[in-house]
Amino acid sequence: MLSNSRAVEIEWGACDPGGIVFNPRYFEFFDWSTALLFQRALGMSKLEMCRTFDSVGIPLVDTRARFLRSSRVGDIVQITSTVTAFRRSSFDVRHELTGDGLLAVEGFETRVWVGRDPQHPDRLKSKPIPAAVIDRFTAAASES
Amino acid sequence: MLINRRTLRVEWGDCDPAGIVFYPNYLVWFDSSTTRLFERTGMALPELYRKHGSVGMPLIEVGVKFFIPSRFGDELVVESGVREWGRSSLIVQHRFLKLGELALEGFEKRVWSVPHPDQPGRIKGQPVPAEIVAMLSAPEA
Repeated sequence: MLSNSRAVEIEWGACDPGGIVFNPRYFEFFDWSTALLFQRALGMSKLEMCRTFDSVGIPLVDTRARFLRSSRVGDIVQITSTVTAFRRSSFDVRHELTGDGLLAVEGFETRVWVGRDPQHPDRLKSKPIPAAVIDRFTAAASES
Repeated sequence: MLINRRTLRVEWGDCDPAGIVFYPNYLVWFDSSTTRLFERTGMALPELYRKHGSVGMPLIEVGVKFFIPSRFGDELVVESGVREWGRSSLIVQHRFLKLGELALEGFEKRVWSVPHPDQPGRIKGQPVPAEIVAMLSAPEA
């Protein structure tokens, strides 16, 4: 399956008084890493993706992370993200965050493809993931 | 298990362009809800750490299941308690209720840590002081 890797520099404001990254910041990194993975597969930004496929986004229904090593201000960490399963309207993403080549944080997400509920426009409703999206992941994986 | 309850209001800046809470913010609330829970010992957490020579309770694992999204202005009741005490680890569970319905639930696995005696700059796990375990295990809701 297609993966995307990116480097993130740990900023001062991402860290807590213990001098290490405050855990919610890892989820911010992972959230954008998923967006960049989709951008790589589809060749369009998250906003364009939402417009093109009439989606509101890909909110989480489940997430989990294991913290193995801490990261500090100025560290450059590498995040590699992969979709590990596509289902009808949900999919799983795995993130590996490494520092100096060592696994530091492992993250798992289950997300849902959602649009507006036609009955209640202020509510979200899951929708089948467009076949074109899944096809792009398969095609992009064989191209890379 | 002692359950601590607190009420939060979802602010504008907690939400993302889809109009719902940006989920890492729930993890910020997990952290502060654990702090509020430990205050039920009668001591603020920094004070409690100082008293017991601890450097804190770093997280080793966290998990969340999301059921109902929340939006700007929503009121959330957070219920937190220590579900499990290990040798030096503990599992704090958090439930977020919106109008009485479970909006999300999750856990934090943390380690009560002290400075490593032989390796400066490093930390090690140590059993949670018995008085803290006793106070947070009280069978009161």
